[in-house]
Amino acid sequence: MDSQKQKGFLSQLRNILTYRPPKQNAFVLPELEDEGNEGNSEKTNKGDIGDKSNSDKNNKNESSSVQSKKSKKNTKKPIRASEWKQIKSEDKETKDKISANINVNLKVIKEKFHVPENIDVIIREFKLAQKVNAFIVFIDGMVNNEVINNFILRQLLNPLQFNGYTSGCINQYVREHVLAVGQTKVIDKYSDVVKQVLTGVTVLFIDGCNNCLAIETRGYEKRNIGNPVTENVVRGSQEAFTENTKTSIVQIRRLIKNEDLIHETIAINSTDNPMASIMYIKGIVNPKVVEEVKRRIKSIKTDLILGEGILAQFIEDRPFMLFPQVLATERPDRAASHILEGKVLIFSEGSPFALIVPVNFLALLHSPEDSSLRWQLGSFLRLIRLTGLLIALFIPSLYVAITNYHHEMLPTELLLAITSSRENIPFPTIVEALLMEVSFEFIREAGIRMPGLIGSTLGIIGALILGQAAVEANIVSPIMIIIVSITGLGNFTIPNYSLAFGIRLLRFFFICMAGISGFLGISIGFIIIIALSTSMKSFGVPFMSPGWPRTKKSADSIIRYPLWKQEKRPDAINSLHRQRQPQVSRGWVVDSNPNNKGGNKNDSGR
Amino acid sequence: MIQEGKIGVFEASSLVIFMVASKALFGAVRELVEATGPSAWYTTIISGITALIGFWIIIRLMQRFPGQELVSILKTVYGRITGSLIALIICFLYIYNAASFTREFTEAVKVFEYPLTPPSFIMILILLAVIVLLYYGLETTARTTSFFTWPLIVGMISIFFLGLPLGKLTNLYPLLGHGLDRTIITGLLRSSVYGEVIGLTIILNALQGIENFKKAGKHGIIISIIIISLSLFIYSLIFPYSVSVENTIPLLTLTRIIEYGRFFQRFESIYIFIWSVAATLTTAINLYLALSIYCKTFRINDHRVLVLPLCILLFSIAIIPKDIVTITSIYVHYLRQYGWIIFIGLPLLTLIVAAVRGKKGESANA
Repeated sequence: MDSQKQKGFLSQLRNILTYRPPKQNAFVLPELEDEGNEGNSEKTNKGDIGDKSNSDKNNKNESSSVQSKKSKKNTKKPIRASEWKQIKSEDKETKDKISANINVNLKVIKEKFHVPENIDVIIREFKLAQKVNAFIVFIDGMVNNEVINNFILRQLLNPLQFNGYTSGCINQYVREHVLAVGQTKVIDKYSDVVKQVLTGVTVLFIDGCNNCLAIETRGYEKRNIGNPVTENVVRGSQEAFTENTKTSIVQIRRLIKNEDLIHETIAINSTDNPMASIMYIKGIVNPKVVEEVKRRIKSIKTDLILGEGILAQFIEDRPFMLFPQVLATERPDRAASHILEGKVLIFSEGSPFALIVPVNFLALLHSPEDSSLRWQLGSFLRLIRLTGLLIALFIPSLYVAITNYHHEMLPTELLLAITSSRENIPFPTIVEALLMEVSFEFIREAGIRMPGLIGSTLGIIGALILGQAAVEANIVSPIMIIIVSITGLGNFTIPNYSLAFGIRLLRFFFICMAGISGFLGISIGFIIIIALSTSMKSFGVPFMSPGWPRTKKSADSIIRYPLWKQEKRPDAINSLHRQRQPQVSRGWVVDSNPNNKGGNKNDSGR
Repeated sequence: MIQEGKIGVFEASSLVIFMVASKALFGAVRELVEATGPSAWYTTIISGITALIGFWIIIRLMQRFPGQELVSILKTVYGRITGSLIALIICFLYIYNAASFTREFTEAVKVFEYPLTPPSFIMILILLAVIVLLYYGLETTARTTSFFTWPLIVGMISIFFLGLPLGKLTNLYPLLGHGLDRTIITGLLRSSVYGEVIGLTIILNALQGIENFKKAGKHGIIISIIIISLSLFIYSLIFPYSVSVENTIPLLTLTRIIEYGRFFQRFESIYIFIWSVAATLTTAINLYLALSIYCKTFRINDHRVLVLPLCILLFSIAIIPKDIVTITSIYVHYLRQYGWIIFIGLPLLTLIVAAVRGKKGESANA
């Protein structure tokens, strides 16, 4: 028995010490030979799994060594790098050109779209006018089938449609006489074909033509126009953008019926091939801003741009700052008003938000409702929001500073009230403040993540029950509950989500600064934040304008002047046409006065 | 040459106001009251007017060398080596000014608010903000300063108005203080308080023209005269002479005695805020001017590399004095008493030397 046990033990020991090759069926993710070389990586991805790959590699190595020996004998003359680049680009261009031979085109398209593996890509071959070979390519689900069946295929298959054709490029004839579709475009590059097909366009190839026709057939499912979720107003428009850029652009066009409203699309260099759309009014916008927007978007090289949130991070001036330097809005009316101020609107597919650039800090505190209401009410709302922002930023830190360092500043009665409420609390104030603020953040985050009805009730339950229980258990003082609640309310008054988030994080910074050195710490922290903010720019426009640096007086900053007094566009944006309306914008004021026919030039702000 | 960007008249005036008027928040008020008695409030007006005359000399100098800032003028007038040496003396004066200011604030804040905190910790905190400001350069420093200008002015004026009911007119007597001769002589000597306005000559190119320079300097000095004179007036009005010479930080003591009913009392919170902001920004401005002179003297293109070494230098100088008495009676006293030699005397001397040697700027020659 012992010997058997000993044998067993020895064999186990030997098993541990002996090397064994890994099991054959285990999946090993192959490492790339050269991570920087994308071309090679594809090759290795395709073939190098398992043992086979190793033998393949060996074979390749052997063959390559033989080849290298051979090639040494027939060494070519070295050419310059610039020449080599030129040859390469010319080669690439010629390869990218569409062939006149339909079989070649079919092969290339199948290769490009990985047909038949890729079952969404439909290639429909047919005889044009029952004579000429042709095919159309589109992506199933991205197109409107009715358009393809009734207005493309039906027309193309009908020989009667081609009665008038005599000679020349048949593509031109098809485009002018056969197809009953609104938008068509001639394309002569495969790369363009791929881009178009991926966006829902149908591409028609005809034998004998060295170009093809891109036919507008986009017809995928999309969400209907809904109400704004994050920018609610009582008075004003109740519609929001959708994820579909085309719909959003139409929404803007419906609001700004101006022939100078330009819409341009820019392809983003990303694996998911998204398109960014920019809108602006020519003649009002500063062309340098448009150029800069295009330059930044075109220069992006990345993997995935899913909506404006990701795009914004790629084009922002100072990505390490907590404040956003672009304004995201889901409201067409707000976007339209900014376009008319001389700003540029950016849409990215996949998100119901538009980006507005350039922006300043005060624009982030504005709401579309400010303009809908009378000027006194609009101005009051802005002041409330600004107060809310300051409360959200400073109240907890001021409480921490006063209770830890500056007790003498409080009136005696208030000091006694605070002291008696904190008598049984075991934690120092800073711990208490951080504890409650973090709990509040938990409730808020959980409320958003929890589904529907539970989410909305969770906030109330969390705040009421948790707060009450914490006070009764003598973990936090009632005054801290009040402070956290006021802070939360203040934060909710900030209309811009990104700014509100930035303020939430800054609050913790100020609590820590107050905990370190009271008022001095808060002052130092505030100076740092102001210094960082004043040094920031959004597409060339100082973030803290029109105050710091001081630009020309704006009638639409913190105090919103009456609309008829807002004669000029903001100075900091440097729009080409600063005058928004004449000095007398309410003509009836002048007209009604019989003694003042034609108006007085000095009647400013009427 | 370093790229300083562009600043406007309001921002430049703010720089002057912070450099000059923030002294009223510290021991300077007591020092002047001690020297001239109840006539201190108009002694500072004499100083201000002297400074305005000095500023006129500076303007004449700058007009003689259009488009040139002070360092370049010094090099033109005195030659490269002598000019650079004089520029370095001004540079050191600004560092010294910043260091004494930092230490004065540190000691004061330690006495009144943080008795257990080591001075070095307070100085490091201030330098943290100074580093950020200096790193982003003149534009950011000027904009940040202009952001806090209105809070500073409104805060100080509100303190004055709230304290007004506590005043007694009899405290202002004798109106001539320790004597008219003493008032005038002290007023002339203490024009150094406003002398920092010379700093605008260093950043002249950022000001976009001599006209803006003139406006900014004048506005800055006049607003500072009003603030300092008002603070001296209110202080003399509220505290009798015998008490007023005893307070280390006069305006802080003033805020502590303000009381409106049971709830509205002790307005120190406003004071502490503007106090710390003023100290930090004044240090930053002074240090930036020193940095700018240094870069222009040695033709350094990027000022950012010098920020940290300069802050360490400032910390080292500021930590030398033993206590608050050494700071106020030696460091600050001599600076305020004899600073005019550099602030007003130097431009005057330069103007005379330029006239004697026939040196002029390029466009002035044409």
